[in-house]
Amino acid sequence: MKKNVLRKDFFMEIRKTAGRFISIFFIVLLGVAFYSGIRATEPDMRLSGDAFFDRMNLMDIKVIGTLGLTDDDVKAIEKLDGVEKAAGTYSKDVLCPVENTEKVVHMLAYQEEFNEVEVSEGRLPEKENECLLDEDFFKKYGYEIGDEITFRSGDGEDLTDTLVTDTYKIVGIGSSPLYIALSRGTSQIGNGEVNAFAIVDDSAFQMDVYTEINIAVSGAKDAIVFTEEYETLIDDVIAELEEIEEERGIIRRNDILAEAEDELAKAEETVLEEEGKLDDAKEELKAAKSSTAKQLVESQKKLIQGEKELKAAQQKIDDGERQLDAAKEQLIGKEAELEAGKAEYKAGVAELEEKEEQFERMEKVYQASYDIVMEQFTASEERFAELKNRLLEQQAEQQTQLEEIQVQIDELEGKSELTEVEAVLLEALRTEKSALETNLEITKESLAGVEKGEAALLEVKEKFLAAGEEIADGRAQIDAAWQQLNDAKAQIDAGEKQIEEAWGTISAEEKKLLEGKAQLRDGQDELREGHLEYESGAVTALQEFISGEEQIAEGEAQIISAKQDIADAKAELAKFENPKWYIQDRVEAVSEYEGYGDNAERIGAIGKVFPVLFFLVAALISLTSMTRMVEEQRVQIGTLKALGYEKGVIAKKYIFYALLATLGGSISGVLIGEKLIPVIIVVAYKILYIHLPDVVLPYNLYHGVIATVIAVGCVLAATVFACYKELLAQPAQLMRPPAPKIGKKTFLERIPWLWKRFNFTWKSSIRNLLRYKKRFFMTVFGISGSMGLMLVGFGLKDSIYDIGTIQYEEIQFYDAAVFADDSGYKEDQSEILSYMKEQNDLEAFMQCRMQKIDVRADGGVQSLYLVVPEGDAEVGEFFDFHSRTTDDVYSLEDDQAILTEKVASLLNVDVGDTVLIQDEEKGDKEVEIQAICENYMGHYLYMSEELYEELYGAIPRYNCIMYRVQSGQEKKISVIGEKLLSYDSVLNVTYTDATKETLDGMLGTLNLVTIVLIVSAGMLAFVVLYNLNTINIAERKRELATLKVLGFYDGEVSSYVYRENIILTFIGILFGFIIGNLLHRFIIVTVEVNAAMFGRVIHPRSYVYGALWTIAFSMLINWIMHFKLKKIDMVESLKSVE
Amino acid sequence: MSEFVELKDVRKIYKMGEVEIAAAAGIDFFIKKGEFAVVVGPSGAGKTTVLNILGGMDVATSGEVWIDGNNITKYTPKQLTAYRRDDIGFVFQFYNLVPNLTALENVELALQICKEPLDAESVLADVGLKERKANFPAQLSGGEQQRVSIARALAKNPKLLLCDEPTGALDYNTGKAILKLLQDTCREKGMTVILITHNSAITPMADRVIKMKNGRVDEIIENEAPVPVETIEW
Repeated sequence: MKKNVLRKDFFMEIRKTAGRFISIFFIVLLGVAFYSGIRATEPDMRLSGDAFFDRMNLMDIKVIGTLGLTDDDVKAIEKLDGVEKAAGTYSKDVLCPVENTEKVVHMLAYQEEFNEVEVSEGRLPEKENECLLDEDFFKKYGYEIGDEITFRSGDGEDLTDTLVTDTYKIVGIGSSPLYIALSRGTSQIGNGEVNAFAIVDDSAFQMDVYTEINIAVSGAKDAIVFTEEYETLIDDVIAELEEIEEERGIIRRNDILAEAEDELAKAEETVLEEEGKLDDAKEELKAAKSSTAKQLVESQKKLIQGEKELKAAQQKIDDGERQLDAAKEQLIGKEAELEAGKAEYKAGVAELEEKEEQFERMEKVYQASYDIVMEQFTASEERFAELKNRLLEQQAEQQTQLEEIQVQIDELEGKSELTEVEAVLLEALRTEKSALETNLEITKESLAGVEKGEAALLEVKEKFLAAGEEIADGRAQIDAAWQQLNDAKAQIDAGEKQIEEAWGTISAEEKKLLEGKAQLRDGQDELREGHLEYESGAVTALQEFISGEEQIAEGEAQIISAKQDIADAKAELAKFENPKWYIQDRVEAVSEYEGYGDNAERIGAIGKVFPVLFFLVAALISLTSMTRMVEEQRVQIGTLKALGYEKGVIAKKYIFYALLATLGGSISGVLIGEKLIPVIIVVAYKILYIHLPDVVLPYNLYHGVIATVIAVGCVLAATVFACYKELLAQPAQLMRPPAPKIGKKTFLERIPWLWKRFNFTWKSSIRNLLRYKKRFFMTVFGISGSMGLMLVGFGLKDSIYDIGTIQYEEIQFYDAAVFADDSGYKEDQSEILSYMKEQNDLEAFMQCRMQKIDVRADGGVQSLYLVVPEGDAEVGEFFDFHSRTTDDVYSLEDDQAILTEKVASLLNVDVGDTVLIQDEEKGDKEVEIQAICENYMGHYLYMSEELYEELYGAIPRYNCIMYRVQSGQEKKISVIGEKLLSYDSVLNVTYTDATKETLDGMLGTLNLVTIVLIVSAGMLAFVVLYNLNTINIAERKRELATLKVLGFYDGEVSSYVYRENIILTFIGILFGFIIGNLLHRFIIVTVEVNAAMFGRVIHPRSYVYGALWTIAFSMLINWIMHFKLKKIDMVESLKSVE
Repeated sequence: MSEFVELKDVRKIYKMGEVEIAAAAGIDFFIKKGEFAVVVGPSGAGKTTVLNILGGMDVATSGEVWIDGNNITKYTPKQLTAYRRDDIGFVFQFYNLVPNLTALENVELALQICKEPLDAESVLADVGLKERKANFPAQLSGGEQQRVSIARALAKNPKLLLCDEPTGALDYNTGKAILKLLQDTCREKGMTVILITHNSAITPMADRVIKMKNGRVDEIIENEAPVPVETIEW
């Protein structure tokens, strides 16, 4: 029963004070999340790297032999302790034409057991002419799968000496664990910078020996990379490798020597053989000469004969042609005649046709009129005949009559006397006779007329008939004409046929003639060919003789030079040195590998300091909250105690409250923080390490538990302590209000003139602040802690952001440094120097000696670069030696040995101290350091030539050229670099721009990390301010209610509280500056890897940003508080003090 | 409105879920200017409600509250603050002094916000604390603290002095002394004083006694001849 009530009270408490509960929860969550998250990031980064490297079977050690490595070497290495696996493989740097330049591509043979390739598209190469290309390069230059890519040798040797072909088909793209970031390492060809890799099949290489051996160290897969465990394993094997290096070198040397001697012996033999062959050749040549001469004479004869025959044939053909031409001419004349005949015929036909037409028209008319006319004729003839008949009848009648009369008359007359009746009868007879006579006359006349008419008619008829006859005649004529024309036509046709036939004959003749001609031409061609053949045969023979002689001469020369070569080779063999091994661990062999490890380490270093303070602030604030809570509830505690509850039962409530809030916060914090923060940071780093795909984020129990234990422990301890304190008191004492704190005069009041200027609210605020020292301390610590963290975040950005710029713009400003082989450089020196002098675009160049040395001083041994510029060089063109803290500027002339700052501090060396340069050969030398200069990347000891000479008794052998081009001529940098690399002695060129870019990229990601820091610190600042304000208001409810009763407006009440907040915020900011500054310095020193120094200075604007953010948070909190204050009930003032 | 303070059917009803609780169930009374009035009654009679409403710390649910001719029930929160600031002097049971300010400063605290304040030091002298003006509350006895509280209220030169059980946390003699101080202030300065107490023994000293019971005025006694505090014993 009692427990239930208490439990209810417990949950009511949480609900009532949800704000407090949640704020403790969140503060703890933030603190734990941040602490465990940042702490877990370093191992997470390592694990991610490790998982990837293991998965890809990245080799642990790579051995490169200067003269190649043999299967025996592989076996020897495999036998070593700690070597799990070793395999030889091939690689070669080649040039690839891209756009207008050539890029260096590192070709690697595909190896199943090492350095697996992540194929992102396509497939692995299977044939010797296929390759898998670097994904980045592929994308950058827009290749397509299936493209052919042709490489070129960059070292003067024929590419096919080592490779089967120089042209490869791209069958896939991908990435290699050897290249986790963008950088591809350096090369001795091209401009010295490798731009891509290409994986080819083993069979693409045709080399007798391996170029390198990859080694897997046993147990290395189980060890996590970048840890000591792993490094020890590797170092052990490297030490073993170094041990066998010499032995293997000797074997290799002997092998090569034996091989070479063999070859030499063979070569000598060959020379002898060749000599013999040469003699034979001479003989042969002689014999050939005489036989050739004979052959030539014969062929000439044949040619002349042929020519004659051809001429005769030509004559015949010419004759034939002439005849044919005559025939043709004749034929053409006939043709013309025929043509004229044809024309005539045609004209005749035309005329005849015209006539025929006319005639036919006439015929038609005649025909048409004939019947009618004939009928008329017949009718007229009948009529005439009738008329005539009648007239004849009439005549006959009249005749008869007349005769009768006459007879009568004659009878009468014949009667000599006539009677009168006879006389009258005679008379009447006579008259009648005359009338009859007249009539007869008339009839006779008519008959004549008729007869005339009949005659006329007959005449007309005859005429008509004659016309008809005429027409018939015409027709016959026309027919005859047709006949004539047809005859002519037939004649013409016959002529034509004849002509055609003649043409046929002619063309047949012509054909024959042409054939003859062709034959002739062939004959001529043959003859010409024969001539040419003869001539060329003669020339070739001559040439052959000459070349044969030349060859013989050459062969003789070759034999001489071969003999010389053999002698030289023998001499060289005698001088031959042991080959060297380059034993590389991943740091050296995998580009950016070390950078990744360094980055993890940097995060680890940040994690060691930054979250601790963060966590501290969080723990302290939640602790304060709990203490306050217990103190506030003293009455309740007293009451419970008075009621007889045991201490433990009473305390349980607070302990559980604290436990629930902190444990809940811690667990959520671990869960969120260990996943979220490493993800943010690892993902940020993946911008840089694009080919490191694996992100492994296991829960890191160690840090999680530590954070939880500390957080829960601190808060619980504080709660228990507070409870204990309260519980010790008597109930009665608890139920009385606590004895009010004694108001005290503050130190400010001892300055009356200042104190008088304050009004009461200010006085009260100041006294408040100074009186509640605990709260003051807490708040200031909380604010300054968060502010400090923010400042560290901004400061880290400042420090990191600047160093590339300062280092390469203010300290070392050469554009490139060219490194040459120590001994080889002498040979090329004069040529290189004169080349450099010719370059008009060069601002300056300088020779110097740069050498890695070990330096010992109080602080231990550090390796660094000794730089000795040429005596009369203008060092100021390339370096600016100056102090970081003071305005001092140094020069090598005055200060003969200048050490860089970081290494000076690592060695614990000050100006005036001496350091010892360790050198096994030339002996250790003491050098006094005259100046220490600002420097961020790498360590250097700059020494004047004078001092070097003094120490070593000779001027240094130069092995480095630095140069700087005129501004605007930046393109020339790599042009000059490429040119210099073409010298044998030049090993590599380091371009400052590339270095700076890499550096900027690397440090840029750290920027992202700092943003995480800033955001977290900002969140912390907010929560801290919120929590402290809530506590403050809760504590002073009564006082604030009283002010309200006294008639203070809401704004006045708020400003009364704000005033304290503002003062606290400002004090917090000031302390934050100090804390941030110290912390920043500390973190920078820890974050720095040994090889670099980060900026030490936080920019003023970072202070401003930090302060502004804190003020902004403070103002936001004040704004929220205003509403809380408004809600305070005035009735609170009437209550008794709790 | 001839009366200086007048409450007309003032009701204050708190709603607790479905239940309505009437802390004041229709209160009517008036007090004349310069009177020393005592509101007396047992716990829960509505004394504090009356005080809260008169002091502008709470608003009546209904009814009218007239103070010197102004109906304060119509005031906005801001006007109420101004009313508290300029017209009311409040004496708390637990003094409610700002612990970080000296006696004098506590008085001055109130003065800096009102229009026609009296001189803080002379007010402190009036309440007999001239010597202790530089002391912090924690250095003063309860009676002294209450005197500072009264001085703080008086220094504002209010129209009305409201006292909430001013002797509740004090011992007998000190309480008496405080009551005398209040009575004297009323008599000498003509200040209208309303004193709330559960102690009916002190009613004879008042000009007007308002007895309350169950949220209502039970009885109003006008005392023709109030007696000096010294003569009252309880």
